[in-house]
Formats: sequence, C-alpha cells, structure tokens
Amino acid sequence: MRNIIYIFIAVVFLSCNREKPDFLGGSLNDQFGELLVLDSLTSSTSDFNFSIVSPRFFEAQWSKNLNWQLDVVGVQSGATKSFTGFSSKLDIDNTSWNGSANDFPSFLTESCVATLVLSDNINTITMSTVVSITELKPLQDNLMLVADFEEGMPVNTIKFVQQGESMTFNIESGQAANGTSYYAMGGIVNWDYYLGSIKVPVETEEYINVSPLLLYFNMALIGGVLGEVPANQFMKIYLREDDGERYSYEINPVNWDTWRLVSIPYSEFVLESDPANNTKDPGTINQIEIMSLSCPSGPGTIVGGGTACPENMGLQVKTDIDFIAFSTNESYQP
Amino acid sequence: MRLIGICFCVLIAINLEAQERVKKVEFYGIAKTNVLHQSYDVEGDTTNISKANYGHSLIDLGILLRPTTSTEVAVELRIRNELGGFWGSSVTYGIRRLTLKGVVNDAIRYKIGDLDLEMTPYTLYNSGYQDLVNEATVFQMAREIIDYEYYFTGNAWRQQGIQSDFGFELNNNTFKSLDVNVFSTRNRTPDFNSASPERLFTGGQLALNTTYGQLKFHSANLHDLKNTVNDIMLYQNSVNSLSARVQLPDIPKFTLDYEGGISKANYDDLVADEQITINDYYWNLGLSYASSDKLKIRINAINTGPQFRSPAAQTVRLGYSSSSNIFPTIGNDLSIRKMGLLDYLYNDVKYNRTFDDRLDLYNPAFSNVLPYGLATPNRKGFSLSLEEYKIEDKLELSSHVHVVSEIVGSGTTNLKSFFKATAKANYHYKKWSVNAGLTHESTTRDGDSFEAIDLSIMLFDFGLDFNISENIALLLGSKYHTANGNELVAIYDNYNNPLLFEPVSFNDNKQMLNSLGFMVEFNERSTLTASASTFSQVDERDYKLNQFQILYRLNF
Repeated sequence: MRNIIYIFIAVVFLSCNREKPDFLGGSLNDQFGELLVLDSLTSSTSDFNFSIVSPRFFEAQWSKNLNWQLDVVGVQSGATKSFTGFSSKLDIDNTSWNGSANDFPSFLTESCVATLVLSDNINTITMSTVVSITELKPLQDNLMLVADFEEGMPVNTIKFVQQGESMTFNIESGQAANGTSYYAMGGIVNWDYYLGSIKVPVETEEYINVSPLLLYFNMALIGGVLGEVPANQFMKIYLREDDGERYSYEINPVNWDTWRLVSIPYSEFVLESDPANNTKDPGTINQIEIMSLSCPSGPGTIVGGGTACPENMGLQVKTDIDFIAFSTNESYQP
Repeated sequence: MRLIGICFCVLIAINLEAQERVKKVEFYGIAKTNVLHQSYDVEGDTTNISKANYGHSLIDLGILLRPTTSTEVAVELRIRNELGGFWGSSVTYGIRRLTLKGVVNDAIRYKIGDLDLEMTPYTLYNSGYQDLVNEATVFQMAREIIDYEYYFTGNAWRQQGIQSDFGFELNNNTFKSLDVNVFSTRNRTPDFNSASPERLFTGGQLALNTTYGQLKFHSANLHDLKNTVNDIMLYQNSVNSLSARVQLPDIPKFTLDYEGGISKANYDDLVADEQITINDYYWNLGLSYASSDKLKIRINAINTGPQFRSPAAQTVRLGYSSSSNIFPTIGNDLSIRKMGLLDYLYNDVKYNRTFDDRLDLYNPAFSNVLPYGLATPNRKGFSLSLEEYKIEDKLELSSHVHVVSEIVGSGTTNLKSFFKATAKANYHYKKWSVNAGLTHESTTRDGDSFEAIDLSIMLFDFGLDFNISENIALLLGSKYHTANGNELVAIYDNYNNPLLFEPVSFNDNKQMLNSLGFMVEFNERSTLTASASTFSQVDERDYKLNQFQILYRLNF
C-alpha cells in the first residue's frame, strides 16, 4: 500500500517540469506603459565614409517596444533611407547603413538629417540628429554603368528627335537621380506616338555566362505631375544583340513625378524582331535603345495608325532618365 | 398539425399495445406555464420602452418504449406556445430527446442518441453557475427552468452520439474488476461556407477497481474529421489523465486522491502547410479527512499549466458578459444596458449548450479566480474545504478556500495572486428553513501602475422558506453582488494564447435582487408559484427592474 502512495507522490512531483516563457501574451509595458526616451538619437559616428568597410548605424533607446521609423534624408539630394522595426532600441542590428537609398535619388556627399518617430496609442516622440556623408558607397560588384550623364553622353550615342513643339532631348543639371546631371526626354508631338530616342552602344562580354534571369537592366526614370504631362506617356527599351535579335520591354505608363528605379531582368524582355538563334544571350548585347512615347493629341492622321488622345492636347511629355546600368544577381541599390 | 396527428395515432396504437403488455410503454411528461412581467425604471429615460410581458406554455411528453426486454427507446416531444401566440401563430413543435438504449448479451450496455456526458473537472465537465452560492428556493425554481431548457443535468454536457459501457471480473484478490465506458459524439456539423469541418468528440474511461481503491484512466478528444469540407485547418485536442482514490490503511479516516494528465492541442494549417502543437499538464493531489458522517475536511494542491487545453471542461455555462433582448439599452443615449443577476436568472442571456475549441470570454466581476472551474489554465496553489459539518441535523455548514496564483505572468513577469472563500449554511427548524451563502474573491498583482491589479468581488445569497400550511409556502430570496477594483482581461488569439489585455474596472458596483413569493402545492405533482422581485444595479448607469412571475408546473 505504501508503495502506491509513493508512486502517487512521485508521479506528481516528477511531472513538475514545464518550459515557461517569461510571461504570456503581449507585454503590458508595451501596451500600457509610459513612453519615455532613455537614450536620445545619436549616430555611431558623425561622418559616414561609405567607401570603407566600417559599421555605421544609429543608436537610441526608449521604454517600450513599439513600431518605430527612422528616416535619413539628404539635405541636398532629397534622397531618403528608411529603417523600420518593432523594438525598444536602435542599434547596429536594426539601423546598420551602407549608404544606399530607398530608391532614386541617391545620396550625394552631403549633410543628412536623421529623424526618428516613436508612436504609441497616446504619444508621438520625434528625435533628430545630423550626419555627414564624406564618401559615397562604392558601386555594386559586377555593375556596368552605361550612362550617368555626369560627363556628357556616352561615346557614339545616337540621338533621334521628332519634329514637334518644345522638344527637349538634352542633358540637364539639377535634381538628378544620381549625381547632378540627367537626360531629359520630352516635348509635344501631336501626330505620332514616337517623340524620340537615344541609342547607346554597349559591350557585355563579361556577362557571357550570366543567365538572363540574373541580368538586370537598371535605369532611373521620372515622369511629371499628372495634369501637366499626358497620363498615358510611356517608354520602350530595346536591347539589341549582335545576331540582330531585338528584345523589348515597355514601361507603361510613366505617371510618377519622383525619381524611381526601374530594374528589369533580361528574361522579362520579349523578342520583337525576326529570330536568329531565338535565345537571349546576355554577353552579346551591343546596343540599348530608349524611346520616349505618348499618345498624340491630334488632330489629323496619326502616323503608324491608332486613335488620337485629344485629352493630351497641350500637355508636354516628360520621360527623363538617369543612371543606366546593368547589374547581376540583384537589382541596383540606388 | 400533421405532427400532432401522427403523435395522436402513435399514442393510440401504443396505448392499445400497452394494454396487452404491461410496462412495454410508459408515458411521462411535464407541463409548464411561465409568465413574466418586467418593468424598467431609469430616471429621466424617455426613449426606452419601460415594460415587457413575455412567457410561454409548454408540454413535454416523454414516451418510453421497450420493444424487447433489453431495449428501450426514450422520446420527448415538445409543444410550446409563446405568450400571446394566439391561434397557434407562435406554436413550435420539436423533439427534445431521442435516445435508444439497451443491453447486448446481458453484458454490454449501449446508448445511441442524446447523451449526458460527464467525467472529471479537467476532462469533461460542465462547470456550474458563477452567480450563485447557496441559492434561495425561489431562485432555484427559476434556475431549474434554465437547466431544463438547456439540458444542464448536474455537470454533464448534452451531446449526440453513441455510448457503451461494460465490465470484466478479474478473479484476482487485489485487482477485482475492470469497467470500461466509451463514447463518440458529433460535436459540430460541417459548414461549407466557413470551411469548418465536422467535429467529433470521443473518449471514455477505464476504471480498475482494486482492494486499495479505484484507478481510472480518462480520455477526452475533440477532433475534426478530414474531408467533410474543403479543409483549411484541422483541429485536434486530446486530454488524457489518470486518477486514483486510496484510503490510507494505517490511518483509515484519511483518503488520498490524485488526478493528473496532459493535454495536447494540434492545429494543422493545410494552406500554410504548418502545424502548431500546444502541450501542457495538470495535477491535483488531495487529502481528505472524515471523522464521521458529520465532518469532512479536505485539502488539495493544484497545478494547472498555462497551456492546458481542455475544451470540454473549459467552456463556461453562462456568458456573464452577454446581453439580453429585454431592455437591451438604457438612457436616452441608448447605451448598452449591463446585464445583472435578474437577467442571468430570468432573461435570454447567452447559455452555451455545448463546448467548442475557443476559451470563452468571462466576466471577472463574477469569477476571476477559477472562471473555467478547476480546469482554469495557469493556476497553482491549494484549496481547503470543510465539505460537510452537521450540527444536530439542523444546521449544515460547508466552506471552501482557494489560495492560488498564476504559474506564468500575463503580460508581465509579476504574478497575479488569487483568493477565494466560500461559506454555505442551511438551517431547518420546524416550518422554517433558511439558507445562506457568501463568496468573496480577491485578485491582486503588484507592479507599475499599468500592471497593478486589485479586484475584489462578493456574492451573497440568502433564502428563507416558511411553510404556512402543508401546501402553501412563503418564499423569500435575496442576492447581493459587489465588485470593486480593476483587472486586465486577456483577449485570446486563435490558439487560445493571450494576445492583448483589455482593462476593465469596477467602481464599487453593486447589484441586488430581492424576491418574495408564494408557492402552492396542489399535490405532489403540481405547483403554482407567484413571485415579485426587485432588482437594482449601481454601476456606470444605475437602473432598477421590477418583475412579477407566475410559474405553474405539472409533472406526470
């Protein structure tokens, strides 16, 4: 009988072992605790030299886990790098920065304002600090820069501009996607979709063993404010191979008014010419053609057929480009 | 009308048959009329309707058919007419119960149809009400109506399925016999619109009777049946436990009892192709002392894991945060009226007829220590019970004390501490009979202001019956409930894990329900009760309700 009792007690106490979390459910401190800043926003160093391998990050600490957002904005370029997370501090794990931006425009060597916004259900706290970019980040491995228009047009570029009104096919300076110069393409052609183009020669032998899935065509592109530009303006890109095959990709519409990265794998281009070997060979691309197009407003006959878009009457096409480059394995990081 | 006609023909045929073979057919039944008038009183309220009359009459006719000596069919037919349902406009018909039971070879008993199932408080158990301690007769009569309508028989859940039990004699001096009880029921029908598969509840008990006591294995399994809909998620929960009760040979007045088990909840997400499994265990070790028939004391140590999942034992019977359609709003701004003691006893608040896989919302103003009974997850501590103490067969006393705490903190590392004390007394003297009960609960947690908890609740029941004559009794009943303090109630995710916490506070809230009634017993089968009640609630919005009830019952 005693043995049975001992077994009872043994069963009870041998089973007294369970893995326990710190607590069940979401933290009450996170849900109801007061939001207090424990350490203000600082940067790991005041000067960010992205040309050397060194940790560059931001630090701050507050009293509860919450969704936070840190935006670093270039004072001159307007470039933005954002970090978001759910935690109670910023450190090297969640704000490590390699100098890239969210999208075009890219950062310049300039001062940047970093702004941290902490918000719970009751309070919103904003903190800022200033950092300087002393050296820009190096270009990605295996990146081939075709044109950034900082020192003019690439050698042997062929430009074609239609007859039209206020035709602008020039290198402009100002708020570029990268650096200070970009190529403006626009104007008004009321009788044809085609406004103009540039043909840039390239040599891509280094990509001979790269899969079309892993070769990216990158370009910065900006339209204009809707209402001031046609809503249906668009661009067409041709990549020509040395066997005469021509592959195309259409970006339609171009209806945004801030610089954006357009990054397209070569595998998404479609054959538009008569086939030769009917195979995309990344190592044989010898020309890039970038065309600016828009539905003409008319009146009169539209060259190449199609119907006119009277709503575009008086609207000037704007399809400006910058930073044309090939990258492998991943899109370009602006 | 067709149903009545069929029933009439069946009854005549059965009667003729019954005249030939005695006891092959038996009839039983209940007829009931319940009429309620309620009026609502809030100062300055000119928007809400202030009076409500409702009630019903019903007849439940039970038929026991015994086609063979080893088979019995039980059917209960219902005809119900709502108050004011003239010319049959509100008449409903139905079958309240249909059960076939019998014995195979004088050895295996079986039951098919409606089953009332109960095992242990951790495996399969319909925990009792939270708004009573030791209720007055006038309230018990109202409570019986609820129990009858919602099939609450003791602590059993009404399910539909099949059950069988049988036993073996073991021809051993130590191990005497083995009893087996198994069941399988349909807990939920499939719903194609919500892709909810059919759900079964299966389980049983295996009891080994020894010279030292009984050793029992219990199993309760709630599980989805695959391919009854286009499955998205399949759920399975099993609770397996072992219990034993042993009288200590050296000290025979002491009895040791134990129950311990494990639960395993499995969620198979077929879309995301992932499984989530939640395991935990519980144990309850008790020592009881019985000096005589007049005194029984018991002490228990309890430990129920934070992830312990037992749907058939963790479903609350009454939704104390639910609403009634009787005076649903209050004030000219039509705020939702907070329900109270009168609603829980007489009005159409939410009662759970069965259990499901979700932990129910509970109202901490009524039970915060053990809202899901002993199966409440995340509790450890001990309880001390004076289970029975009799003085001269006139006064019966009992009391229970629970001192428990959380095992793991909720939203914080600080643990909640709980205290619950219950005391009951019944006194009978000549024509007088008095009963009273008091429950006090407190919940505390230290820490920063956002996590500190200090909640105290109290429920008092009092009843007095005076038999004016042999057939007429005066019934007096009173209930008083208070709640003061704050609590953070968990909002559970789909896996019954706390996700967020919702603050609730009670600013010295008070409820009181008083009833005075007369009961006339026409004979041992029929009674008529008339009662007048007043109810007042002191809360964010104070209000009063008055009620008059006539209840006629006839058993045959």
